Amino acid sequence: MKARRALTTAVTALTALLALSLCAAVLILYADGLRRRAEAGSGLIPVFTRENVGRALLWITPIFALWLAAVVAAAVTRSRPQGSLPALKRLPPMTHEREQKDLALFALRMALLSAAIVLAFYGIHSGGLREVLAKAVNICTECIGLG
Amino acid sequence: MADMKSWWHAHRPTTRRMVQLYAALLQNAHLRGFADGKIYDGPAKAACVPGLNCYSCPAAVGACPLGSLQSAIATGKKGALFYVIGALLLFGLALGRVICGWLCPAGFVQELLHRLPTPKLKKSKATRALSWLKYAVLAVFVLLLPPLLNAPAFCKFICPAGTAEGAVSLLANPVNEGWFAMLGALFTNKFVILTLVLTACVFVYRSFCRFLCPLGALYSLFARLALLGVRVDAHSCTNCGKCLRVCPMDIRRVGDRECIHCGQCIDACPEKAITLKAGKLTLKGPDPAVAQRRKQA
Repeated sequence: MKARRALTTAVTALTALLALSLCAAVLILYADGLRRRAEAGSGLIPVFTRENVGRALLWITPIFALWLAAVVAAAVTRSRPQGSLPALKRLPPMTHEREQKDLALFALRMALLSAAIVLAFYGIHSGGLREVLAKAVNICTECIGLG
Repeated sequence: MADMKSWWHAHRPTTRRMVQLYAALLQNAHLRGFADGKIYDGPAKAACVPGLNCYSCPAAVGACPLGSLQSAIATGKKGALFYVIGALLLFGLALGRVICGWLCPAGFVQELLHRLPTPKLKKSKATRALSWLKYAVLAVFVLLLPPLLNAPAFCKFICPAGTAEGAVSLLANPVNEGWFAMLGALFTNKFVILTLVLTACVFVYRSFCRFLCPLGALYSLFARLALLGVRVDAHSCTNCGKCLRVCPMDIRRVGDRECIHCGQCIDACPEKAITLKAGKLTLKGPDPAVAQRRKQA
């Protein structure tokens, strides 16, 4: 029991440490890149390079390895994955759906289904598939955060 | 041997976990893309997948509905806009937030992270209040900002799936070394957001889904309309509240806007009043073995 608690504490601490290290690394690299750019007086100097990212990874890797080891150890020693049910101080009032009998809901569902089919077919007919494909097969670097 | 058997019995993957794994693999079937450092560009990319899965992931074989919607709104292309809205309506009407609970790769990753043995933050009034934040994200970053900025604002400024699946996995391949030159403030911000979201998922169950995901917000509008979902038999229910206590999401009742239809309440219900249904067809009822174990516990 004591070992389990110690491992849980270790995993928690290492998770926080790993997150902090990753955030700190990317912020330090960014600040360093800006400083180098200012020193060179050129906006063409890259802020991030493969080399400085590699150097940052060198000191994050041991933390990651420790975290992974703690996670594996905790998973092996963990015997019961499910805890008891949490206590609920005050129960909110419960209501029940009557949707099977609800005619209005059925009508709304059918109306939306018809609209969905019409919109999808109209969209496909107007070249929607081609437009979505053109967007999906080209990497928009800015959209995924490369910028 | 007996110990191993009991360990396996306690840890074996559930049906839902296997469905999540298969769905994630199916939506990311082009695994060769990771080795090539390129994305799939076949015709399947024209079809929207139901879950949040960045189409710039090297393995993705379909289009992310949220990215496609923002792109269509930003560019004002009517064909794409109608097609994506039609697809989203069809997904919502057929499956609703079953997609979040069973098919979304982002949800699957969040659940795996939450399995790490750390103290967990329980649901409360604060988390319930925070669950409204995703509607603000939907309104501002998906509907309002894209036409103003002429760019998919959620993808650009927030989406952690795009950063992890797209940016990081593409940068990890030496083929794309030249892309390091374009990294700057945007990447720094998005990487910090990704790290914070992943860390939050370890301590808070599906924190991205519950508080930030605009796709979840969109599907939650279909809570009462979706064909598939968990249903409560009003005649058998005794209002004991066990379903609410066992549920890790911020629900007020089974099947409401926050319910992802994971089915944990099905086995917890002492009256066997909850089932997973598709229309009138019952897909999942209470598992007698699990119900017995819970009774003994």
